[in-house]
Amino acid sequence: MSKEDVLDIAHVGFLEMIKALIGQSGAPSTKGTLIRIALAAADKVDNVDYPSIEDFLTAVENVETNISRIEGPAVHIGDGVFGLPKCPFADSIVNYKDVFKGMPEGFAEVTNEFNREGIVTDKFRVGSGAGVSPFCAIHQPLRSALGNGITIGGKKTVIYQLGCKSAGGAKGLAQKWINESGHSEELVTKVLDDHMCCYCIKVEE
Amino acid sequence: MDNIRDLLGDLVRTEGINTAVVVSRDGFVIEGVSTGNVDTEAVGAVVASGIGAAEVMGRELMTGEMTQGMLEYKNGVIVMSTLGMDAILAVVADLSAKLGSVRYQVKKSMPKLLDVL
Repeated sequence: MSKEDVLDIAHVGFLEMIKALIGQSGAPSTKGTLIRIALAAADKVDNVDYPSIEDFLTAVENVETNISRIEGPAVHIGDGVFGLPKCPFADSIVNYKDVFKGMPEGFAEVTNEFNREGIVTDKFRVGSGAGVSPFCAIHQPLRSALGNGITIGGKKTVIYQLGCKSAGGAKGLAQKWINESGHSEELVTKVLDDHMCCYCIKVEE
Repeated sequence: MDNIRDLLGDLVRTEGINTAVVVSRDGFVIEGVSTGNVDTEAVGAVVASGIGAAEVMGRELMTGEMTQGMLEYKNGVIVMSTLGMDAILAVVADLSAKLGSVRYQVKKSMPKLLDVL
């Protein structure tokens, strides 16, 4: 057995904890708890200003932004649209599936809840079809909340979650945020052909 | 038509009621009014998980859909009511409150709240 075969018990335990939350308090409450965990984490991170968009893109490339430090390097497709090659929860999923041969019960319910319109998902421009697993309820709000703490040349930035792809290859598109951000569904679909997650960053004028 | 804040304001004018809050099922506050130092955001999170747990209990014990729950503590009571499929009304009252009156006021406010949600 090689070192790579050793399971990460924290991953397995985390997924089991989500399953327990669903069983004990239902999917809507679990979704809310996952979002609150994300927002509380983002709250602890200091705000950062980048002098220019070029500086920001260099920091993304070098995995130096608060966002890239939690999700790894994203690829700038152009016009503020980014594709993420690897889901930051991919290793958790692999570890869990190694033990249980599938995902826990109730996960689909939380995903459906995350995709429903809600106060916080609207505020952070996430979900609305872009959720493909309960992990999106952590990852997407966390990224958007971290984005709120990033300024470029002193101007605020906003992040729109445009789409996400499950480990099985199913694409989830956030039509509402695609429309509002002004990008096309075709572009998002194309980005998701080669990436697991697609979002855009806009600098407010 | 009254707005949610007005309706919650009416509730906290009932003797003994110090907090009235409407939260979404995921525990985020839609609107809240408190006469004391209660953090309505914190109330939202715990009410959603509390009512979620109570609903799971009802399902397991086959007692049907949950409509209202009342929790009695040493220093007060919490009344939680489901507001349709998407929201919850939670009212916190101290020991000076008359339970019948609290429940009556909550029941009276429900259709109005459902109208404005």
